[in-house]
Amino acid sequence: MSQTAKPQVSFYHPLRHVDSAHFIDVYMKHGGYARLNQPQLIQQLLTSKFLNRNGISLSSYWSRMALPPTKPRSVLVNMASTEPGMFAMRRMIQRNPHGLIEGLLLAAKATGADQGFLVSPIEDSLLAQTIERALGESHREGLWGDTARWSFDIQHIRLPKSLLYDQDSFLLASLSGQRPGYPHRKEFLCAQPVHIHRAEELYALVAMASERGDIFMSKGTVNSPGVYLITIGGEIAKTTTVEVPGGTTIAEIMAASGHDFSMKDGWLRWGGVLGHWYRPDEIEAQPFEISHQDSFCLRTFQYPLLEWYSDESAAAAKRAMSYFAGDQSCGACLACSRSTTGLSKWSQSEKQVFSSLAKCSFFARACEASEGPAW
Amino acid sequence: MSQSEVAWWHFLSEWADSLQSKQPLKIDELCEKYSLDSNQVKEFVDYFEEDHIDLRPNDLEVCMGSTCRAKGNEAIWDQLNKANNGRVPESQIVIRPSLCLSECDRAPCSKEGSKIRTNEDQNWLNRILRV
Repeated sequence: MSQTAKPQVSFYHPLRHVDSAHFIDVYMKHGGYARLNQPQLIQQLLTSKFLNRNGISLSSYWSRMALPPTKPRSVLVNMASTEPGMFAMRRMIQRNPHGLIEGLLLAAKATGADQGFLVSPIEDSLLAQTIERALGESHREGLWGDTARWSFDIQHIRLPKSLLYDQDSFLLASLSGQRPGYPHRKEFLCAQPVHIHRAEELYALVAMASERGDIFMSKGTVNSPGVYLITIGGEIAKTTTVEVPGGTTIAEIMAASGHDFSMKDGWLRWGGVLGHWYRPDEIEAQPFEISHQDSFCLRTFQYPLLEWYSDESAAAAKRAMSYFAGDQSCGACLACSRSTTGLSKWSQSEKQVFSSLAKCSFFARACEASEGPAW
Repeated sequence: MSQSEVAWWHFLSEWADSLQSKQPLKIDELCEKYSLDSNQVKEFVDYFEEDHIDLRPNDLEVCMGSTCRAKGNEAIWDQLNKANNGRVPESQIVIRPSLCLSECDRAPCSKEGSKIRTNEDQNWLNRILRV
């Protein structure tokens, strides 16, 4: 009699196979929120070498503002900077909303934050309802707010969806009522310094704080320790999300998608809609390392999305990029205001001229994303 | 936290509610209630207005994200527009491109009125092309 294969346990969604784990009673029954008050665990997170979206270790990111511990600060989760192809995080939050809140509470404890902000897109009412429900449940359990034993409050703010919010200064400008394109000059919100995270970083904190945290951090390499979430998409049959230790080669990551295709043809795009194009055989043997000096480091407006396209569909993806870039550009400078019509027609020298006029990195990313396959 | 930030967040909340309930937003009343600059609020609402135009039940938005385009939405866009142009004007529907609808794992997808149509349900396309 053959044994039933045990489902592989996920680091980012360990309760994936548990029914109703999106309710707090089931979540807590399976160990959720259990390790919030362990000082040695919090110290461990504070010195973590896990890399955030900018390829900087969390310990470096959190310590970049040298403030006395008595000064107030906040933590913000940016879910309003949505990007085509990154449906995976939306699904994760709908299925595991308490993982997100637990990650926020862990980040708050590690950094001594007094205030937390969850910023979600206005258009996504289903996501907002899920977040509100989870906030209500966790508040009633006394995990934060006026019913808790520590001083930490959470606000849920909804903003119109915009890729530009990936640039922290634009996000903070919008939260202060300014139109994106007139950026703040300081990383402050409510007159407090603020740490800004993406949702997947908070799920990683929960993984590090879990009983399998040591296993989580033992994977990967010295430059990219831990396990990272990558969404694999494009023209493959089944778009999927995989958990990848740092140092895994690109060919192995694509094999994990389950899609049967040859790495000898087509194109790979890393970074999402404003990502960089490669021929598969150029990078299939390269290890996935996202620290800031490595080739797969994610820059502003880029996301952990690896896509494969045939030559024909790569042209369609480039047209999608051009359309998206034109819609999302803020128009505050000449470069962005012309970006819709120019990308498919401009010469390299014209792009360089406009690049010198750009007020942010958005236009530079769009120009880089227009290289590679033919239009 | 500053009063102006709190006021702005209250306004964002009311704006979100008005989008969901399809009720018109009373900008002047909100500005007075929360002491907001009406020019700033109007500029903000106008900036995002095109992103929130209501679809009638038969109107279509075709996702023009990378994955949906790669999996055939450009061809679907052409088919729909060709079929629509062949109708008498009174029975033509509105067909618009859309940014990513966040259903990439079920690409290609589109939005018919308030319903998302994905690769799991291709009958909707045949129905529209047939009429």
